[in-house]
Amino acid sequence: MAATLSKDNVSDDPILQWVTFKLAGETYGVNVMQVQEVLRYTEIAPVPGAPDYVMGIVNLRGNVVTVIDARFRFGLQPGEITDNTRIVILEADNHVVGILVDSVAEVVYLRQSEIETAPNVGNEESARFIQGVCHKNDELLILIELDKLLTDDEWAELEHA
Amino acid sequence: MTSPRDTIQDYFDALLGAKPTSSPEEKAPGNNTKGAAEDARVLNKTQKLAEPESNSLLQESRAQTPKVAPKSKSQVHASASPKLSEDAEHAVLEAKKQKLQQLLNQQTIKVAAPAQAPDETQAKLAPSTDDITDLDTAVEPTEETYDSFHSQLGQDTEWAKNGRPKWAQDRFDALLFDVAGLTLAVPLVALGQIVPINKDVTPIFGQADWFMGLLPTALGKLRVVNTALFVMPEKYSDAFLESAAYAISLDGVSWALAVDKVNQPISLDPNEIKWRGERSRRPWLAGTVKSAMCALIDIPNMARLLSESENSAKPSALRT
Repeated sequence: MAATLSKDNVSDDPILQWVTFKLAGETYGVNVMQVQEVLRYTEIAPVPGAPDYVMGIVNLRGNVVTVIDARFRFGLQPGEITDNTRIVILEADNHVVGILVDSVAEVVYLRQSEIETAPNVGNEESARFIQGVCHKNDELLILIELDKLLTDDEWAELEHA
Repeated sequence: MTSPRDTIQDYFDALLGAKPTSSPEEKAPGNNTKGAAEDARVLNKTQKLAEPESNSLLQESRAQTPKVAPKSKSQVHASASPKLSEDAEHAVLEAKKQKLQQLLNQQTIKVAAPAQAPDETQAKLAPSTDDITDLDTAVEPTEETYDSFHSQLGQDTEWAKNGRPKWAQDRFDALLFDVAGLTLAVPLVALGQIVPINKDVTPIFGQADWFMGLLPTALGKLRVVNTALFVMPEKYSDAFLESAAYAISLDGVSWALAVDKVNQPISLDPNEIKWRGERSRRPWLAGTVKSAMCALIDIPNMARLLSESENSAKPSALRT
């Protein structure tokens, strides 16, 4: 009986793993299940005519992966490329894409119940990328909803770029 | 030649944008002194009422404030005499005032108590009368208390026929604070906690420009408003982001105002306030206080606007 209850509690409040990264001094998190790999910064080939949030493409073991500027996408100020800059390869909405971040921090474990709804004051489109916020290790994590990173139209635009 | 006082007054007049509904008689300087003397007397008296820990913040008092928990208040009325409940409310207000005085005297405001602390502090702050122990149930700002607050807001946001807010029918205490060179006043009863900002405010992208970020506290995350940008967008400078030192939360909601400096509370007579006549623009501005050369904020209306701004398609309407 006790074991059943415990199992139910776990299923009611699952523990999720999040890969955290830094952007403009703040910490963000993406679901670890959607992260394929993390690359050091490498030369990104620009694509003429691509949307402004697209930095270009990289060759990942023979596959072409589009790299998105996370700062630009989130409406943050541009940053510099440093030794800590990374490209996080993600699977979002059944597409593989890379996002450029300032640095990758760690993997944290969060209970679903620890995640709080983020404020939503404003009509900025980028607000939809935020899944929630969570206070962990004395800092606030901003959790990103990767499946909303691009709309269907934007995915289609990338495919044809 | 125009004096600085006249210049500031002109600015307030421009903010008000309408003639006052009550007589803008200047109050004699002696009255302010009298108010301060009353404050001192009340504060001295307060020290005998409760003995809270000096390192806790206003939220301890707020936890007992009947205003955020009308349900508890009704329970008090059910079990205690009206006189007793009035005394309890008075005691809570006095305790809040004393806490504020301590904060102002200490210069350094310490971080809010740990999350598990309210239960202990509740016991220390609770009035000795057993009849009002039901107040202890109102510790956390739960959804229920927010709902209660909002239902209460419906009354507090309305103005009386005499052209004054309902919360300003009698003499009331107000806290003065500085925001980017402008002094603002807020009714003390509408305040929650004062939290030092340090560098703990986390900005969230995709939000309105006046949203400064989230500030974790023992009682939850505060949504901090960039007060300088909210109040004076035409004179805003990013320097405020560096100078803002405290977040003053609004009682009953999870919103807080970022301020540069917290000053002494004063006692205000409604007659010495130049109340706004037309409030379709900047409904959060109640009027101006000539004796203190400051703008008085209608906190219940501001709290309502901020709460309504979430998921609002037109957040910029807040400033218009």
